[in-house]
Amino acid sequence: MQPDHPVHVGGGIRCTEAIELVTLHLDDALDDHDRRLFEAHVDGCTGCTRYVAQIRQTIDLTGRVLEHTSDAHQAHHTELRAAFVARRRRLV
Amino acid sequence: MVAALRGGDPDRFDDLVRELTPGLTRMARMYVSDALAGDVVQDTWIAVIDAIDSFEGRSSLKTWIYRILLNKVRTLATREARAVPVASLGPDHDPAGPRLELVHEELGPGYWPAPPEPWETLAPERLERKETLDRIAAAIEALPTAQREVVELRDVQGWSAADTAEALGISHVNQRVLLHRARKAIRNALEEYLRAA
Repeated sequence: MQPDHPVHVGGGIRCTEAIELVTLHLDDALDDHDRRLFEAHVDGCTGCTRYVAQIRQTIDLTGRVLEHTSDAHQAHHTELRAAFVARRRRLV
Repeated sequence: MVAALRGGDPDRFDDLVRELTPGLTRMARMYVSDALAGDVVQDTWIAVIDAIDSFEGRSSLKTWIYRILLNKVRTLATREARAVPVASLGPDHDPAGPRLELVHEELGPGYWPAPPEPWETLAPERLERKETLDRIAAAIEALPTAQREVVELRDVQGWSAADTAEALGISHVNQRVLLHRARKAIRNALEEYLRAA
């Protein structure tokens, strides 16, 4: 069980600052200095550990919003294919 | 793919149309009515056919096609009544979304007063429901257009940061800021929904 908050509060960053670094962290785009600060904070903070997990869940769920939408765009495909053939013949 | 298109291969063109049309249509709908969106996507494909010879390959084919669509659709939107206010295109004018005011009793401002409840224990059955995905879709629709575009490409369609910035014609920093705000807003909307379980 992690402590609710880092013990080394004074030296590191606060939760609000860690939260602002989450997107960079997930893109693996933090420089070494910020990455160390971020990881040290999150490792010792239950709140931020859970927050990062929730952002990951948010991203996973967002990636699924198209699961239930149907592809209603088939109609134009034949038309476009014909246009492609006609125009490329002219251009080539 | 580019060579196949220049060579006039209709099957490869078909593949590309099938792959990209749903996403292009979703993007177009952020700016114009659903009816018009279909037409703009159609126009975009015609423009792709005509311009493929001048495609220089400095960006990926996918981002180039999205730029063509966005050009068209943004021009249309400024003409249409449903015009997107210019202000909403810039991150400086975007609301940062609901702010998390964190104040811990002893540690003071900037720290969680109490850790957020894990979603698995908050509403485990809701996480697996289709309704949750609908809530996310609604939260995305409620975002300012600039944030919506970025989260659509990054998280709905799974694009890289670089392709997203390129397609939208924004800086990498801007891309990240917009994505960060969008994810925060969606996460907050989700939490609110799960908390109400």
